[in-house]
Amino acid sequence: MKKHLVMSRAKRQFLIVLRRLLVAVMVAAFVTLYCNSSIEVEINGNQYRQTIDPFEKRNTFEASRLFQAILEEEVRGITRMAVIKSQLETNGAYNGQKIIDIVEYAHRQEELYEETVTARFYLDDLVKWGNYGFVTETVCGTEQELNCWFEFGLGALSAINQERELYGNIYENINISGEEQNVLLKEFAQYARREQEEEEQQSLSLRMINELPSTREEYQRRAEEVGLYVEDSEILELQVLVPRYLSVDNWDLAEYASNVQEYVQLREDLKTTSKELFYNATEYWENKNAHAPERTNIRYCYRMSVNGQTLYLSNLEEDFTGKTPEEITERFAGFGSYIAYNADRAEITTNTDINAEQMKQEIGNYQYAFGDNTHAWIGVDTSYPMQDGLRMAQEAYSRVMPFYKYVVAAFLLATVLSLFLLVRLTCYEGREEEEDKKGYRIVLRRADRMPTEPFFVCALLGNGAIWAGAGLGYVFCVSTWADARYSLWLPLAAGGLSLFWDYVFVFFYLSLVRRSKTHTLWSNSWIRRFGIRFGKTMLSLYDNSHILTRSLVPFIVIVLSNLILGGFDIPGILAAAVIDVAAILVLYREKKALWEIVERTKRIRHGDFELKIEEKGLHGENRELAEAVNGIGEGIKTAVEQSMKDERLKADLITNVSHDIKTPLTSIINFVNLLKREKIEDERILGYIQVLDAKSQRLKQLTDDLVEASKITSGNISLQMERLNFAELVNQTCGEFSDKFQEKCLEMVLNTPDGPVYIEADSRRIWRVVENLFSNTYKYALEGTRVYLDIREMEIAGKRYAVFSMKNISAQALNIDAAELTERFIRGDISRSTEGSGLGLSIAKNLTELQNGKFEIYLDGDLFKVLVTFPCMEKRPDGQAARDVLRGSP
Amino acid sequence: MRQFLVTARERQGEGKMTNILVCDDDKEIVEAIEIYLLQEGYHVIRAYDGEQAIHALKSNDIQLMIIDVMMPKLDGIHATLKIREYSSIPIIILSAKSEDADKILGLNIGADDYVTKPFNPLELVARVKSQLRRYTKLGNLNTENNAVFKAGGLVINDETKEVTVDDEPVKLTPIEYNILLLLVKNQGRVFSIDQIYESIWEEEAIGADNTVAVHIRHIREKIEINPKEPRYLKVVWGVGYKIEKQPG
Repeated sequence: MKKHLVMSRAKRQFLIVLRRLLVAVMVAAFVTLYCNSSIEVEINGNQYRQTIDPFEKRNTFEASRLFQAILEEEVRGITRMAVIKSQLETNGAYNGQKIIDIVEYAHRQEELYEETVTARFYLDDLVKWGNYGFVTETVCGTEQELNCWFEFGLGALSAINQERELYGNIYENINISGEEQNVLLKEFAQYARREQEEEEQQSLSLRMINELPSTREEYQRRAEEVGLYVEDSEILELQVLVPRYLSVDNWDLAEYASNVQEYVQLREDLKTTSKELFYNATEYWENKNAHAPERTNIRYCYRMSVNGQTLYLSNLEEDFTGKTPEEITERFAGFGSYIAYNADRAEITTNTDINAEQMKQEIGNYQYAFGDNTHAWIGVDTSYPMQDGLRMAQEAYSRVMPFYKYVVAAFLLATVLSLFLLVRLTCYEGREEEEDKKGYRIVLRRADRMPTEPFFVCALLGNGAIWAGAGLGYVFCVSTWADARYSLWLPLAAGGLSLFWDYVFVFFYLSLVRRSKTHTLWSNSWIRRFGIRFGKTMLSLYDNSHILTRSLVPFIVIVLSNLILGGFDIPGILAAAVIDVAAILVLYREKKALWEIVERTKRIRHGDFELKIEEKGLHGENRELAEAVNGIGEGIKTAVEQSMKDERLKADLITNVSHDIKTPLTSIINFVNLLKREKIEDERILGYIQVLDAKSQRLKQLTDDLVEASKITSGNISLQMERLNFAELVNQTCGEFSDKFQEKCLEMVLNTPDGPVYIEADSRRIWRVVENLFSNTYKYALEGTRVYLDIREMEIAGKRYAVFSMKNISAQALNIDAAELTERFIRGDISRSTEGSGLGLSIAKNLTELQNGKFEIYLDGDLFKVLVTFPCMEKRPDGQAARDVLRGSP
Repeated sequence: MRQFLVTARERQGEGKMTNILVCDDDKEIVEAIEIYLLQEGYHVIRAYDGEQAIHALKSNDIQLMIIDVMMPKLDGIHATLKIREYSSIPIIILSAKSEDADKILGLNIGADDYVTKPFNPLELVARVKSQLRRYTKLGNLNTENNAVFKAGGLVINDETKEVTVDDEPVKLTPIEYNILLLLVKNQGRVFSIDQIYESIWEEEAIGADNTVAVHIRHIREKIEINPKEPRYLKVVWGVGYKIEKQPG
């Protein structure tokens, strides 16, 4: 199957639209789920939010957790209300004259001592005071002083003052101890009280407030007046209720107490009781009718014992008195859902999920109120005739629950599909087929040219505006229409809006995809442009600055930054370390670049003229250095190439010229030959012909040598290197030249080692070398002398070399330098009268060097000595050597 | 070499006239060659470029052709190629190009021999004769005798101890004869100096002796037209000597 690399325009548009519809479905489903996932229920006047568990298996509302949670809440409320009613009502109606024992009430959840002092108040009074709060006055005195007040109704200090007024200061000069003083004080107090009672009938609180000082300083002062010394720490500050809070007995609270502790206890109990009763009363008045049968679908009946009589609390207008618990349970079972709870036995009969433990907890909180023999019946009228929380919950539940699975499935399906389509679109986005139909390229659109940052801002603003609008719209709808949350319009509107949002989203998203595919996300960003410009500016500043500035300014900046940042504790030191590490990295980079330049320069020096130093990424001195080295390398390369080219041109020229010379030369040689065959008697003419013959032959030799020499120097020959025996070669050459040497009476003295001397060379070229040497000897050696030929193996610096040496006596005086002999056209005789081109030694030397050999000439007087050295090869081929080892040959 | 000349003169009157086509753009060269060939009793037909050569070949009964390479209109290489399409006469290329590559090219496209300018006219004549002999006679040589060894034009009859090159008898010394026999018997194999020495003299070689080399040179001088460019007895420098395996 052919794989399409490019998506057609129509298909792309279709997929985008399809995806948009899927997104709309997804959003609508999500909104539906979100709005219906929780319902707000009003129970006992409280807004109460419940989450619907979408994966619940139960299929009726009464079996759901939602129902159970609401029911629990209702039971809690009803129980509490029952308790409050038992506190505030008498015979089913609020009783303001109900007498409340404050100590009993405040400590209703504790065990009480029998003899505890208590006071009783009217309910109305308590609720009123709870509402307005209590007013107190501060009085000061020692514990004994205050206890005296509570016990005898009179303080000792006042008594002494009264005594003084009556009898004068009789104890003025008596020095008494603390214990004696106490006794005295009591006596005085008893005495004084008796007198007081006779005088007037004022409430104790009022008198305490009037007669006791309100500050410690005042008390100290008064005590000093009567000559008593009191430690500051012994003085107590007591808050005394103003005498307006009277009990059932019309008594002030102070009059119940016999000492300070008791008073404080009573006062706090009074405060607690009245505050709590106030709250309860408030709740009572608010919710008195919350559980009226016309306002709730809950039916209940509590049976409790109050003050020894059995009380029934119920919102059913029935009289349960005298009915057995079983009968009442029967009655409640008729409501659909019911709970019957026997508190004594912690026994529950129900068709709901509420268990005995939960009921025990709810009832147990108010154990004090229910007493023995408590029963509770709660029923729910499952036809929900009344508009209440349960009915709301039931409606919400039945509205959503049957479709919940489908909505979830639609949401998941739409999500997965739209994601898949998004991935597919992402893959193909921006592709455009190449002309050759073989590949594709990524094409940018006009919108993609916008720089990255404004693009992102636009994207965020565009999407954000839509999201914010949607959020505001949601809030507006929910606050304007009560049922908006649950209406079908909200998901529809959300879906519609998401069609529009997806258009904006896809526009930006696909642009983002195209940008990242063409890698223009970064290259087209303002940050990068700015960074590059900044970097360039810095680099050009650096490159153009003086060498002193270049090295000093960074150094000073780093040192200063270290010094300054070092003063900022750990963050500063860390920042300084970061700067230092960065500086070290930069230094390292610079050094590395320099090292690279040095390495490459070395390689250029060794003949790698093609090599270039990468100038990109370098700056400052490194860049200049790299440019200079590259320039030098380029120059050398050009020069070498030029010289090679010149040499080759020269070789070509010589070859061509020699061809052109050869043709006329052929004729000359031919006709000279013909002349020689004529029977010419004249000696003179024969002499001329002789000269012509010799010179034409030499010309022939000269042209051949010239071509060869030029080819060798221009490196225009190919070598076929092979292994050969140097000694054999010299032997063969000796054979070739034996007649010629004899002709000149030259005696060959040949010394070769016993075994073969193997070297690697091109056989024909090395023959040319040796031949040239021999013919050189033949031409220039003194007649009748000996020619010494030696072949030996030498070891130089761990390597074996084959050395061929040839020594002879020159016929002419050698008045030139040895090195010059191997130059072209140099011959032993300056007159150039003998045969030979003067190229022989030059060719020999060049050929030797081409074959990795060494060619040396030594002159010592008339002694002419040539050394030809080649690296030795193995004595024998590897295979044979190995065989010899195996055989153990000597 | 003198021997060849003598025998050629002897055979001058035999049979019908041999026609040789000489083709070179340099008229003097053609003229000189003609003089030499006429002396040997051959009839020469001249041509000065490749087209003329082809034309002359068609209109005359020609037994051998000498052709230059660098010529106007049609060069020697292309002319040879065309001629080889219908004729198998011996062709000797005569050229100023002396590179190995040129020689290889010339021989590969169908030439039988390659002579570089400037040439020795006597050598050219000898090569002409050699080619003619091979072309006209060698095909029906008696080879049934077991004692006869041959390599191309070189034939050794071990019974009569006679050596002939292109039917021309060659006189060799016994040692030279033995060396040549050894090499011809083992055509293509390279013998080093020591090996030859040991098998001919039947005693151990003790190095540093160029006797064998001298003998080889003498043999070459006797059997080769140009001893410096031997056809049969080749020097493998630094290794030894061999008789090249000859085709046909």
